[in-house]
This record gives sequence, structure tokens and C-alpha cells, in this order.
Amino acid sequence: MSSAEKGLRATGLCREFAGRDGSVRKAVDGVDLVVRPGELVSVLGPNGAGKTTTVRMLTGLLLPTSGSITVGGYDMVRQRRRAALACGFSLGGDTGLYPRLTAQQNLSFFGMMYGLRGDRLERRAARLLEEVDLADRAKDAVGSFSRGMKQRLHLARALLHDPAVLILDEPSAGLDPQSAASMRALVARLTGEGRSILLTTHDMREAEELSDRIVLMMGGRIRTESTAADLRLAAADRLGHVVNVAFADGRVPAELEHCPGILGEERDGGTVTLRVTDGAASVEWILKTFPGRTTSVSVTPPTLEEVFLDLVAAS
Amino acid sequence: MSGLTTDRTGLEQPRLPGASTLLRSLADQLRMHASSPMAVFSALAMPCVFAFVVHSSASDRNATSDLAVGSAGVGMLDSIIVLVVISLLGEKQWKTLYAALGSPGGLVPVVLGRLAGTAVQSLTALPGTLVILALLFGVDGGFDWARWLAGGVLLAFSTASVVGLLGFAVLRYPYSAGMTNGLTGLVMALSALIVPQSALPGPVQKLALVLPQSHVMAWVRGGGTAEVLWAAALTVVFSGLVVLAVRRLENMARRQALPLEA
Amino acid sequence: MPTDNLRAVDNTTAAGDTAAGPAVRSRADVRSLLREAMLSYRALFTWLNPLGYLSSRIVRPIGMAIAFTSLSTHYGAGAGRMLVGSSLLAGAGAVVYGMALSIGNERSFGTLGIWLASPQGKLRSACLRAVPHVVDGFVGGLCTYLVCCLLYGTMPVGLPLFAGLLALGVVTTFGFGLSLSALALVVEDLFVGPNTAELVLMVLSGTLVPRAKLPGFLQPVSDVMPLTHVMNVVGDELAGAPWATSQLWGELLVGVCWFAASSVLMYAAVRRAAFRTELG
Repeated sequence: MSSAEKGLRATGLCREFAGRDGSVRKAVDGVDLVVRPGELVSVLGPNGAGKTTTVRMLTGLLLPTSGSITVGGYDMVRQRRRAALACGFSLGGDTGLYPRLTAQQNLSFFGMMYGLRGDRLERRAARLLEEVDLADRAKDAVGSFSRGMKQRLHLARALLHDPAVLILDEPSAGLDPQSAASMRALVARLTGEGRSILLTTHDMREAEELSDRIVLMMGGRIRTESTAADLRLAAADRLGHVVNVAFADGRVPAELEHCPGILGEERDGGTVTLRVTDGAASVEWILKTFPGRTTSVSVTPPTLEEVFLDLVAAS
Repeated sequence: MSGLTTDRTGLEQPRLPGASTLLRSLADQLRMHASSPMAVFSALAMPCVFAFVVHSSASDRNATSDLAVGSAGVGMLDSIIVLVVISLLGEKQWKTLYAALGSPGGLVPVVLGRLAGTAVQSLTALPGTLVILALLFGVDGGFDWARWLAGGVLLAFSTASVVGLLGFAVLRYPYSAGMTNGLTGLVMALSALIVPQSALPGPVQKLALVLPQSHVMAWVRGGGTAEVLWAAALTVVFSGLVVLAVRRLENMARRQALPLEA
Repeated sequence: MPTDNLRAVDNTTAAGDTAAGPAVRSRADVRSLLREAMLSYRALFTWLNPLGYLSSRIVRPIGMAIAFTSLSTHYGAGAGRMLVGSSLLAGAGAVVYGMALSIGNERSFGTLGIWLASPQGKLRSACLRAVPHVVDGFVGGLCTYLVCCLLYGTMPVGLPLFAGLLALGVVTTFGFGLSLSALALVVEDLFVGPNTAELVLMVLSGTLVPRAKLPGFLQPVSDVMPLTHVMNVVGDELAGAPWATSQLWGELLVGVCWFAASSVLMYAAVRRAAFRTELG
């Protein structure tokens, strides 16, 4: 079995929905996706891109109209039970937990659904509560939990049966910056343990920080797939580079507007941010034109958010 | 120049903000829940089954006005309970009660509007069950149409006033929906809907006097004006208790940060 | 926050389980199953507090039983049959509502998808979740009977016989209730299924309306409803006639047939759920 087969693989995944007027709408149209062990892949896309439908099919909640899904080497349709044991998922949000049960009882009950029993289950639940920083609230009813605490409990639930594949739907949505950072650290650690992780998110920073690869979905199809760095570099041809220059005397010279390939500029005191078509050529021109007057010059490709907005607008 | 922040032409305060909120709340109740499957089911199916059971116990009976009102009363009771729970739990889930709490009239007009809406809605049980009873058993020659209509309307509003206390419980306590089930059985027994009060066991007979519905049913079964007055007075008393309970709830929400959300 | 590897699953207990004898293991299994059943009850039911339980499980059936028994005495039929029938219906009602909501409430809490996606056998799980409701039905039916006997000053059938018939009734209703568990996966409105089922039982189970008083075309339907055969035994007992054991077997057979049909329905409902968009 290849490493891709041990992780998550979707081939030619399609899902159609019939409308009330008899029309057929393709929510997902021929998606191919691979997440290898130890790899984290983020799926980005605007609302209605087909992310949620894809996630529901990958987790076994929804049958595909056509195509195949293997999780941990097991077919999600034909070997559902084994595939379900290899797959953990967290759909997040305020629901999806039993509000009257305590955090520990929630994990015990969900663990039983995955065939865990007895002391082993209780120990596993206690351990995971510790991992997600909820040990001190283990005996409190989940109904009293904040959104952040619920998100962490969702993640603990997904990990109960120690799945090889983890599918996380917007795990840090609605969290405060501190909780979101702690959630990202935990997810990064889980990747380090050799799990295959598929993450959907609207947070570009999160996607860039965590992902080995990024998949951009639109209209039910994969529009592009690459590493964050490659996506940004590739988009630089269209969107240009961002050059930041700081001048030693605190004044931005007027001649700067003659910089070759300049698309726009933004001044702030003695610093300026230029958007240029060719970063390297512009930096060379600046250093030649203003020798000894600059304290720092840096060039960066467009941000992932700019790339995302550009691709969405283009399609 | 008129902008969103400066144009006040549409913001004149009504003379009775509470009354307009109450009417709005009533209309919303009807708009949102009038055709819900549970409301229709409760208002029609349950009373017809009860009527069938009554008919099987006294098979010579045609549909008399007291059987028609009593059967409809079962539907009214069930549908008002269901609608009050659904409606007020919905308010908690959508966190809309905070807006009401912050408004000049507070929660009272909203809750009373919802109760009045459920009462109006439950009136569908009156003609609905009569049609089915007439088809199944035929209409009795001595059917008293005036008592059927007046008694039915009074029964709907008296039932809503009693169930209003349940509304308070739903707003006040988390997970209270489960506590509401008992009310159907208890009030059904005490309301003398399908049998006269005299047919109830001794201790239950005395308790029945406390509920306005039992007086409405006594009037429908041929009682005098005193029964109607008792029913009206008890309906007012129960409505007053609901207002006091909701006022108390407002105080708790403001003073003790009682959550008004689910 | 601990930093050791989360993949290192603790296996000590599993090894311990293997070392223990079969009797110890089966005791542990039973304990574990009962815990699962109790957790499902606690997780999914809002009436699990003293007031809620009293209201849902005790007051409601007693109120209904008073209304129906009074109806019977008012028209001169005597309290006996209606009192026993209402009490049996109280037990069956608890099973019907409990089993429908034990699946339907998963939708309310947004956990239905997680349950459906889990590898757990759905039929086994639904049956396990029914256990507290069968016990509940028995307790509720018995309380209703005892309170009504006190109120009306009569005990139409002896307590041991009533308890036995009630136990049989709630077990056969379990088979019927399983169809409502399956239906809860299909019908999104939580209460339509159990409310309809309760009304059907009121009319067709022989508890409130004797089979002989049903229209001819409904009488065969009544024969395949839970409690009908139990009510036949009650009728014979109240008439002072000896009752036939075959009625009890007949009741049991009705329960088994409902269980078989409901299992197929459950399988189909679980399959159907995977074709839908939203599971809640």
C-alpha cells in the first residue's frame, strides 16, 4: 500500500443534487485530492464552492454520486466501518455536542460510538481533555462552554479513536486570537504525528502557516493546487510584487514614481510600499538611483489573501 | 439632506408602544407557526381521536355542542402548549428576547402577543373538529350553536392564560421543554373537557374549580351566567399571574444576568 | 499543555481485559453497555431532572388516565377496563416517545451526522438506547395504575398480573417503537412520528377502544398492534373468565414481527440518510 493510500485519497469525486423543479445541480464536480500521512492540506474557497459537500463525502456523511474515496486504505463506501475507524472529523460550531453531558461524558459517549470501552476509554478521554486544555472543566456540562472550548472539545472528540486521517472544518472559526493560535499549534502537532489532515478554512494566515499544500475550490471544482509559496510566486506575474523601502532621511524622494514597472505606491513617513511588476528589477533600480539613502529594501510576492481574491475575481 | 442617521420621519413613537408590540407579536406568531405540521396535527388529529374514544364509550351519542367544544378543547390545549414551547424556545435560540428586553415595553407585550397568537391559532380546532365529528357521528338535533361558538372562543383564551405560566417556565429555566409534557395530562384531567366535572374523582373535582376551562365547559354543558363570569375572572387572574411572572423574569435578567437564550 | 505523542494510545486496560476471565469480561461488557444506554438517556432527554421526569413520565399519563377512566365511569361502563388500558397505554407511550426521540433528538443537538458516520451498528445502538425507555415505561405504567387505583378506590386486576402484562406490553411496544426510531431519521419534525403513533395506539391497541367497537376494517389492523392481545387477557380477567396463554404468545409474536419490520426500515432509513444534504 502506498503512502497516499494510507492517507486520504479522493478520485473523480462528484455530487449532484436534484432541485425541486427536476433540475440537477453539480455541487462537486470531479474533485481529485490526496493527503499523504504527515501532510496537511488546506481547502480554500468562497461560500458555495463545494467545500462542505466535499468534506461531508470524505467523512462518510454523504454518498458521492460518482468517484471514490479511500481513507487509511479503506473505501469509504464499500468498507465504511473500517474507513470510519480510520477517519476523525470535526465540523466545529456550537452544536454537535450534548449540552447536558459533561465534557468527559461527551467524550465517553462518542467514544462508545467508535467501539471504545471501559477504563481505556475513560483514560483516553481524560488524556485528550488535558491535551485541549479542558481538564479542569471535565466535569462541567458542555452547555456552559464558550465557543472556543466547544471547538477544542470537537477536536478532542475527533481524536478519540486515534484516527490516521483527520478532517477539520474551520477549527478556529469564531475563536479569539489566543485560542486560535493555540488551536493552530495543536493542529501542527497532530500533523507532526504522521496523521493526514485536511483542513477547510477562511483564514488565509492559518492556511499559509499550517499547510503543506493548498487547494482552491470554486464552482465544485479544484481551481488550483500548490504550496502557499508557489501560489504566491505564480500570482506575482499577474498581481506584481510588493517592495517596501525605508529612507534614512525620513523623506521619500519624488523620483520614486519613475521606478520601472510601478503599479501603485503607498507612503507612510519615510517608508513607502510599492506594487511593481518585477520585484528584482525594481529593487535594482532603487538601489542604483538612491545609493546610500535607503535603510532597508524588501520584496515580497502578493499575500495569499490577494491571490485568493484575484482567483475568485478571475473566475 | 436626509440620511440613515438623520431621517427621523419614520421613527415617531406610537402612543401605546406596548399595544403595537403585542399586536405585532400576535401577527408574527400567526405568520410563523400557523401552518406548522405540529400545530395542525395538535389542533385536529388529537381531538378527533378523543372524540372517537368518547363515542366508543357512549355509542349512541351524536356530536353535541359540549362534545364538540370539549374535543376542540383537547386540541386547543395540546396545540397551545406545543406552540408556546416552540415559539418561546425559538425566541431563546435566536436571542431575540434581548431586543424585546431593551425595548420600552419590555418582555410582557411580546409574551402576551405570542400567547394571544396561539389562542387565535388554536381556534382552528373549533370548526375543524366539528366538521370531522359531524361526518363521523352526525350533528345532534339540540346542538347549541351559540354556546359552541362563544364557549369555544372563551375556552381558547382561558387555556392560553393557563399555559402562559408554562411560557414563563420555558423562558426562565434551561431544558424546561421536557417539563411541559405533564401539563397536557394534568390540565386535560382538570379541565373537564370530555366529561362533566362531577364525573371526576373527588380530589380532582375540587382542583378543577381553580381552572377557568372547567367553568367554560360547565357553561357549555348548560350552566348559567355565573359560570361564564367565573371563567372570565379566572382567565384574567391567570393572565395577571403571567404578567407578574414575566415582569419578575425581566428583573432577574437585568439584575442577575439571567440568560434569555438557549 | 502536555507534549507527548497523542498517537500513543494507552493499551494497558486492553491487556488487562485479555488477562481477565470470561465472566469478568462479560460483566464488564454489560456494565459498559448499561453505561452507554444511560449516557444516551442523559444526553438526549431534557426531562432527566426530578421535575421534568415527574411531569413527563408520571403526571402526564396519570392525567390522561383520569380523563379516560372518568369518561368510562360517566357512561356507566365501570372504571376497570379503562383504568387498566390507560395504564398500559401510559407504559407504551413512554416507550414510543423515548425511542423516537432517542434518535430524533440527535438532530436537535446537531450530533446526528456524527452518530451516522460512526462505525457503530445503528440497529444495535437504537436497541440499546431503548433500554431506559422500556424500564421507564414499566415504571410509569405501574405508577399510573397504582395512583388511579387509589383515586377510584378499586384494583381491577391484581398487581402481579398487571405488572406481568405491563412488562410484556412495553417489550412488544419496543418492536413497534423501533419503527419510530427509524422514522426519526426520515421525518425532520421531531414529534409528528411519536404523536401519531400514540394516537394510533389510543384507537387501535384495544386499550381505550375495545376491538369489538372498532369499524370492521380496522379490527384486523388492531390485531397486529402492540397491547391488543394483552387487552384481550385483561378483558377475560375482568369478565372472570380464564384467559388463554396463546394471547400472550400472540402479543409476543406481534412484537417480534414489528421488530423485524422495523429493523428493515432502520436499515433503509440509514441508507437514505447518506443521500441527503443536511443531517443536522
